[in-house]
Amino acid sequence: MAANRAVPYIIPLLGVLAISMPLVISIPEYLLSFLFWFLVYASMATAWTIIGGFAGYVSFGHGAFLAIGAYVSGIAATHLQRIGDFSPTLTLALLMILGGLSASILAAVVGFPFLRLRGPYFTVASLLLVKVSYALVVNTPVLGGGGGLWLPVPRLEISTLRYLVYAGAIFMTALALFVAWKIQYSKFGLGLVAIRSDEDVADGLGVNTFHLKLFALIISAALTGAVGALVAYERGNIYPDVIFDLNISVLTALSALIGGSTHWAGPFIGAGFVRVFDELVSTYIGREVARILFGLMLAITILIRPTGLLGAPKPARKDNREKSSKGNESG
Amino acid sequence: MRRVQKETKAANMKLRAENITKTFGGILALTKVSFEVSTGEVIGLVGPNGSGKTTLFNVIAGTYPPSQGRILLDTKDITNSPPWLRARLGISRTYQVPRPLHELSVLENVLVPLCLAKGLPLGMFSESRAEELLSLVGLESKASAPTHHLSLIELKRLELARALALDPKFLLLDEVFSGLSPSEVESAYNLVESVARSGIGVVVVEHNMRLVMRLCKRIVALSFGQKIAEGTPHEVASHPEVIKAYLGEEYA
Amino acid sequence: MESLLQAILSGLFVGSILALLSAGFGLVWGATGTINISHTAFSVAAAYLAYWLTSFGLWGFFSSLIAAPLLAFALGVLTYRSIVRPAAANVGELGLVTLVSTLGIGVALENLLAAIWGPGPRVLSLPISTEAIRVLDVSVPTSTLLAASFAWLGLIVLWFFLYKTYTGKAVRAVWQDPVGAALYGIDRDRVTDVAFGVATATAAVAGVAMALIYAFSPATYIEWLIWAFLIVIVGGVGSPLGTFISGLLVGVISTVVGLWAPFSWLPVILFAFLIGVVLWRPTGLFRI
Repeated sequence: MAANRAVPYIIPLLGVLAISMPLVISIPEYLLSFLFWFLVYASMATAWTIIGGFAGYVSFGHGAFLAIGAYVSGIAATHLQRIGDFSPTLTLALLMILGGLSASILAAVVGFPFLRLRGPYFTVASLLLVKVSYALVVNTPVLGGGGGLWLPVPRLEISTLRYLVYAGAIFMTALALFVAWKIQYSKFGLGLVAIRSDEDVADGLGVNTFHLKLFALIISAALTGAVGALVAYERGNIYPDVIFDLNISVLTALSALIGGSTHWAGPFIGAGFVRVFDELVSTYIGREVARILFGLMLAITILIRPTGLLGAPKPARKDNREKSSKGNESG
Repeated sequence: MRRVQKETKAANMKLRAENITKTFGGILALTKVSFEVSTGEVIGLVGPNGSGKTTLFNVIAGTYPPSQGRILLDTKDITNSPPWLRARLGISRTYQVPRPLHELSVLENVLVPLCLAKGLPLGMFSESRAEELLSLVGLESKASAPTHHLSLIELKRLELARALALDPKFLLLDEVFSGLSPSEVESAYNLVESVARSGIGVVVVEHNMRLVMRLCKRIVALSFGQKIAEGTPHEVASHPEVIKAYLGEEYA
Repeated sequence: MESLLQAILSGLFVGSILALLSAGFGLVWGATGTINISHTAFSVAAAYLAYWLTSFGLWGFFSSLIAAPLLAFALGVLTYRSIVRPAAANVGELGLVTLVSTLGIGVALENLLAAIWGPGPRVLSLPISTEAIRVLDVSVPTSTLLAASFAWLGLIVLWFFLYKTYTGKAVRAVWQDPVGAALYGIDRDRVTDVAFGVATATAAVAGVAMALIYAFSPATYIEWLIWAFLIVIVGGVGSPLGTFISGLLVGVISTVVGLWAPFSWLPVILFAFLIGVVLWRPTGLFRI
């Protein structure tokens, strides 16, 4: 199966990336940036797929989790600086944990109402979440309002900063991949596939679907929030227009869908494809053109191959219906 | 016959529907219907189209709550319990049109209730238990097959295996014989009988009066949302109200 | 008191535009089960078209009022044929598949507009826009009146189509009761073709009207979409009349609320309300 073929590639690839860390100093800036953002998208897409791919609850609202992780850690960073001098590694680790924690709380809070919705309604609600969050943030001066929030500059040499942030990205990607892999082959993952296949039937078979969905959402959000903190730390600032941009959510979902949202390694591969494509098209043709193409890709992928590259092709559901009883449901 | 479930004859339990009334918007689907089934019994729920038997079935299964009335499992009021809880308490159901978990294999379909409801860890033990259940229904050769490879009778067998994986006290079968050829009906009949003999209380919703008369010890007949008769097959079949309701339909 | 009256009147005008904007969205949703995210993207595209043509003169503006709906009709049919109809093969997940694919189209369209005109906001201003007219003792900007009258024109045409023409009646039947309509032998496929085209055409007209009152940018389509979504849900997915009334209602409520709450909080209040409605009754608050 495709999955077994992917695994031997990813692990060495990650290893290579990890090994290249000491070379960070000598890697040209744009390549480092490219790799960094690839890892960021890869970890975000992998986190996304836990709820979007495994459970089948397609969310375009993960931007809210990214943002809360960024903002909470950003504010914490300003306070931390006042308390005292911490080692940058410890600071970043703390901030990422904080980011993940705050995102999980948000997920728990919105999960209760949102996860009662099915299919498209859940997706629409997730879109609304991002929009409401954006409106809230823009109206809140303490978060910097529309102008954005500036983080304290870490007292580091540029090269050390790059090294640290890059290590953070590798860590998050590895963590997300590990979590997704573990889930996929566990009871939890089995339950999520059952939910994705036919939630009502899963209910009737004794699966506490709500708990499973909520748990998946919280894990997905936690990973995303930690990435948000990392991104904020790297940028040094948070702009609402940037962090709440719908295009981020679109690219995240697209990466997962193209690569195979039902497989732990799918989003990683999809993110690679999306990043390379983005870089090439944006550089040689234009940023908007790339996004136009991504929009079309999203439409085409979900229509033609919703399970992506690593997923098994879905048989047309009509097969079972044709063979079924001539008697109809009666009451 | 291989064992259907671990415990031999569960202690006598009763599943009771009390005065169930159900309205959908303006439509009164059920009016004060009551009946009771004990473990080890096979009860038939019959009635012409629109009589409310599927509605009653769904209320007992937990698909939706009744507008009025209660469902009791022994002394426990489960009227408002969600379907997953009822499943774990021992009420299992199948679907008239089989609904396999289509992204999982046949074996995995059975693993879902085993591991997620019964709490078995994923692994050798649960897999062998799942295989046991599959051989009980005659599907052992299709364990790793995707569900869209199965024929209708095979899908119905999978429904049964899945339902039995819950070690249920009560099994609700929705039109399990519909759409089957005569020989398939016979093998399905034997399966259902053996399930009942193992001590599970079975409620059979069915159109085919002939089958119901053979299979069930007791029959509850509905018409236009009301219970019009209850008793042994003969009593019900010769009941004037029942004959009136079925006028024009064949029965043995 | 005058400001309240002004708000209500203003709200009715804005509401009629919102009603037209939402009518097509609701029509498609009710008739095919598709939540068409790109619906308002077509509105914004029409706004840009009007903006561009108006730069040639007033006659350009009026020609956009003709060109935009026609183009939109064709694109609507194209969307149906290339996305919604093939998506029907995905039985059971139709709603999600069409949602995501129309989102893709919306994103593509948004970025196309951004590629041509840039991401910044535009305003569609006509030479008469700065004046105001007194209506019922209340001062109303001419642009609002003009926009509302275009919306009314569109609504009347739509009404005529849905209630007085054969095809339109068939479309309305499918809108209100897709299953029942099929039982009556209505050729659902051909009707849906037309329904999509009409829906998108009305989106275009509404887009031009909106552009007269509100600033717009490529990304605005999501906000307009949320308005449409709210209005359709409140009015009822299968109900033309409900959508219309709901549009007026939402228009009035938003302007009246805007009297007390600072304008920038309006989206938050609105979205929170919408989330509440979606959670409580996704198929509609009212049944008209």
